[in-house]
Amino acid sequence: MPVMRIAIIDDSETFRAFLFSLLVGCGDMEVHASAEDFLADLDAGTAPPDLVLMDLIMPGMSGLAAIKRLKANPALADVPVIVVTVSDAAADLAEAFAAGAMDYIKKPPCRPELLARVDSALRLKRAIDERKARERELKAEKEYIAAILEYSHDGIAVAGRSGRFTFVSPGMERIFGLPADTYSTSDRWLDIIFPNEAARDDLTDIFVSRPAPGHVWRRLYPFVDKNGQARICQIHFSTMPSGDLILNIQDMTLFEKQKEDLVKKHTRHQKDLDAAAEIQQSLLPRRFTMSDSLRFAWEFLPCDNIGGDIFNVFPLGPNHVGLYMLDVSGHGVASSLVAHSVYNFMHYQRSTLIDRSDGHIDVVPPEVVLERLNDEFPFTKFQKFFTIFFMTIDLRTGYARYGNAGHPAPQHITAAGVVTPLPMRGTIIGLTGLGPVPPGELTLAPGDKILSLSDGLADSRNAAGEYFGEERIDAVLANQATAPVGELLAALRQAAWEFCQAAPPRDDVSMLGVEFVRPKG
Amino acid sequence: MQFTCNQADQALVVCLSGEIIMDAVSERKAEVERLARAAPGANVVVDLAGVTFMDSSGVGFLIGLRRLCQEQGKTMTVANPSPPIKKLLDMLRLTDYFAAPAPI
Repeated sequence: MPVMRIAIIDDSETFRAFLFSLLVGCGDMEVHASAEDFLADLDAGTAPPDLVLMDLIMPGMSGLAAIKRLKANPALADVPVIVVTVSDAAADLAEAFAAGAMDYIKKPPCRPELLARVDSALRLKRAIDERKARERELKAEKEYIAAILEYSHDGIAVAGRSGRFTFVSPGMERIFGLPADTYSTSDRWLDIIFPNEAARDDLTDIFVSRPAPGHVWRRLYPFVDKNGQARICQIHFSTMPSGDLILNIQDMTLFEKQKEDLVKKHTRHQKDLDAAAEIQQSLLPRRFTMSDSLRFAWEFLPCDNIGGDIFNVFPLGPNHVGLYMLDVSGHGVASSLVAHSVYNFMHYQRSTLIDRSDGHIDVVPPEVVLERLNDEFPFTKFQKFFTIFFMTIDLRTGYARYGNAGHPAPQHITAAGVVTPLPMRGTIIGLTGLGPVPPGELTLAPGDKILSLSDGLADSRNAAGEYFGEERIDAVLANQATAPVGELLAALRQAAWEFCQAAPPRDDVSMLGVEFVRPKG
Repeated sequence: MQFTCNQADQALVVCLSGEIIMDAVSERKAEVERLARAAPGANVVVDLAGVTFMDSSGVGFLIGLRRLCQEQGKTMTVANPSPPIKKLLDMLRLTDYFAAPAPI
């Protein structure tokens, strides 16, 4: 509690000292020998005291005149004044009370009476001070809230039960472009702002039914601004416990426009992706048996965003078959374009794969083809690399040569069902200077199969986040090793499908298998 | 994919964690590359201890980062790959490519 300050004004030095001695302990005291002296101090800016003990009869300005001066000043009018006087004439006292004194004490005062009156005057002053402080706080708070409403970009309106607006914030004017007094009721507002009938009906309904207190409804409504421009606002409706309906209104025109543009763009991109995916699939080999010597089968589970897998099986000169599977890093349109570009480069009539010189038709060894790819597709060209497995098979003998640039090792499955991964592997295509891909070779016996899978299969995940993994692939292989190549791939596809619960994989899943039936006769 | 960086003696150590897949790469690539470019030392070490999965975009990201460092006259090496990541790098035959260079 702050220490209270008491001013004693009396022309008698003895009496001033006497009062001072009686009041020791009641507060901080200041003494003045005349009313002029006291008022001059106040005029000079001294903080006003909390209580004034005023002698009435003094040379110069009288106590009565000083009281009148105090009470006439709004900043000082709250300071309680106790008149200390020898006179107890009713007229004098009436005059002092009329001037604003709150109490009087007859000279010479007795101590208990003086202390009691001083105490009650100080308590009154304290109560006044506290009330004033509260009032100031309330006023500041009120001004603060008014400023929030004034400067908030949102429109805020309150509609009473009768449909009349009891409050409309300046934000409403900014959003709708009309002065608030254009509409005083919700009906007027709806008529002027919302020409769209469905919007108006919906809003009317909300004004009538009102959300239960504690519930918030939020909707978008088309409206027309003062220039006749179509715009969109979002309104939050909430009901106060009193039943008044609060509307928080935001102009969503720009936001909605951006959203619409985004959806349009996204649709366009999706169409592009779908078209690219169709092209990707159209490039896959047709399902047919190429000759009596070789059977092949494939499965392709595209990811929902287009991927960078591509594979092919094709005749290579009169006696050979070539097959490859490639997986360009990443997915999306860029990866798929690189895949198409490699597809084109690997076209079987191109000199990439066949050397025609001196009347010979020579199948280019796979490791040399991969070297050519490495020259053609450096990482720096597209910021993409790819892995590829490429194999040529001489159908007359079953002699197969292959090169594997970073691709998961294909499996060699004998007619008896023995599964062996093809061991020779080099690094990915796109990084030069890491050494050539080592050449691999083997001779296929009738009934042998070669199976190549992209890493999309092992990396497929189910809803629980588990990977399909190589163990599951191995399990299917172990089970189906002696089955015809088509059935083997169908079993893998089925296992992947069940594992992913029919959701599209995160990356393309490609499977390609060939079966050497018998030497070409 | 999350990453933290600290500048040790001569090397900027970039610790990656989580899944390094296409979407994560496109979000964070520019930031990691900026840090690698600004690194005062001569070495950048990418610590993969916390990486649980990496797809081909992630590998492409590491290759791009290594090339960038090379252009800046810095070395970039990969450290602490977890078993699945080590297996992936082995399959791609990139283990040596990302291994520490022989001291001169």
